[in-house]
Amino acid sequence: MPAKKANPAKRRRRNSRQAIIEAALQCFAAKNYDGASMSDIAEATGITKRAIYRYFPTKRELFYAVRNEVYASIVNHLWRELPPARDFVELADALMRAHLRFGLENPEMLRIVVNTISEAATREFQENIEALLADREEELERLVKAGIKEGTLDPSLDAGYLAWVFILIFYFLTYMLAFEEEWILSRGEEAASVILRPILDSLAPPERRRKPKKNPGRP
Amino acid sequence: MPAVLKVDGRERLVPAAERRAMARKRLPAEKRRESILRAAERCLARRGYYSCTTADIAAEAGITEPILYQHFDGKRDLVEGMRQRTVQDISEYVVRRVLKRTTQLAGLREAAEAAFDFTRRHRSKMRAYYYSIPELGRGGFHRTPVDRLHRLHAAVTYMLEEGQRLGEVVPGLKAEDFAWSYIALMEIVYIANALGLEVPFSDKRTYLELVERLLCSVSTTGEIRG
Repeated sequence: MPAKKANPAKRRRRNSRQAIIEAALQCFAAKNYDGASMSDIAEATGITKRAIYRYFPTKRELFYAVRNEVYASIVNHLWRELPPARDFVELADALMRAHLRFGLENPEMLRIVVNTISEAATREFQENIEALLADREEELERLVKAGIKEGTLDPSLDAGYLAWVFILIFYFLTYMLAFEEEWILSRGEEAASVILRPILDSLAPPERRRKPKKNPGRP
Repeated sequence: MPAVLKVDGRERLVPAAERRAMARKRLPAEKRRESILRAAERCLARRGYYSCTTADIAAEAGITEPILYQHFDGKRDLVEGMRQRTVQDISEYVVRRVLKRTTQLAGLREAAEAAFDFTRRHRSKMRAYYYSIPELGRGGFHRTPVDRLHRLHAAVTYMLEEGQRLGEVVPGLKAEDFAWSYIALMEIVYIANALGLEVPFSDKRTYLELVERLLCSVSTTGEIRG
């Protein structure tokens, strides 16, 4: 991770919290949590290590700040770039596509998301991430309930359970992208629709589900 | 920490010092390797990749670090070995259960159920596996998880195409694409367990209902037989 060379005086003026977080994001994404030292981050920000410690007492706290920033960016991006949707199926599809597009454009953000998993070993982090996900779960559960009400989802489905399923499919896509899995890279955001459509189709109320076509060649 | 061990056919409490002495006994290379891999699994599941050093793993296995290095080149090599072992354990377990089914769709349903059971039963194994993933992008270190997904995708695609040939699965389906949808649904239980999410993934019935819905949607009869 090469540090950006810039006028040191100019750099010093930017030694705000945000500048540290941005530099740390790049460092953590390039070298992982253990590989990126506070010195690396200080160098990339163009300030001293002591100045960083004024904002973040430990590397872990800096990492949490970076992670929260990443999660917030992902979520904000999802809702900002959303095209109008007629029903839940279109909305879910658009959300997943936006997520994939964002991931393709910001691979370093995905690296941070995947990195956070390794920190899940500590109970403190566990509570932290559960809280992060619980917010999303509430949001999605509302959408799922609206989908049931409008008739695109089967009313016999458990909305809370489905909300978690969608969150975890988000994670699955994140993993595939972070792995640089070839199929998903070659299909781009279309991959989100390919994966999601059959699942959404199977969740429709019985009368709306596509009737399977019988194979005419066989008895 | 004392542990209950079977010594001379009787179970008894063995103090840590004695256990270490037993562990220091000369073991055949293969058995020693296996015991180190198991120790790595426990250590990683508890503390994550970064906080778990080779010294910790050696201590957990009751050996010294130089002995660990006789069997592995380093932490990455060791963790890679652990991951391969986990992948092998999962696939052996899932394949054994799938083979009991007589149709392709029932086999796919069984695979999802087997994956669910395996991840619930071996949570620390799954945690260790996922915690080792952040080493992404360092010289292709992430190939094991990708290779696992690809092998899974090839197997699922094969089963769907076989199902089409036998008239179980609708002929118009693009098996290769649908396989990814099925895998996405199958993998969420792995991720839920890696993240330690209890709720709602302790509920197997609802999970299997979703899997069944997906598979029934491509069944020529609208149901799963076998």
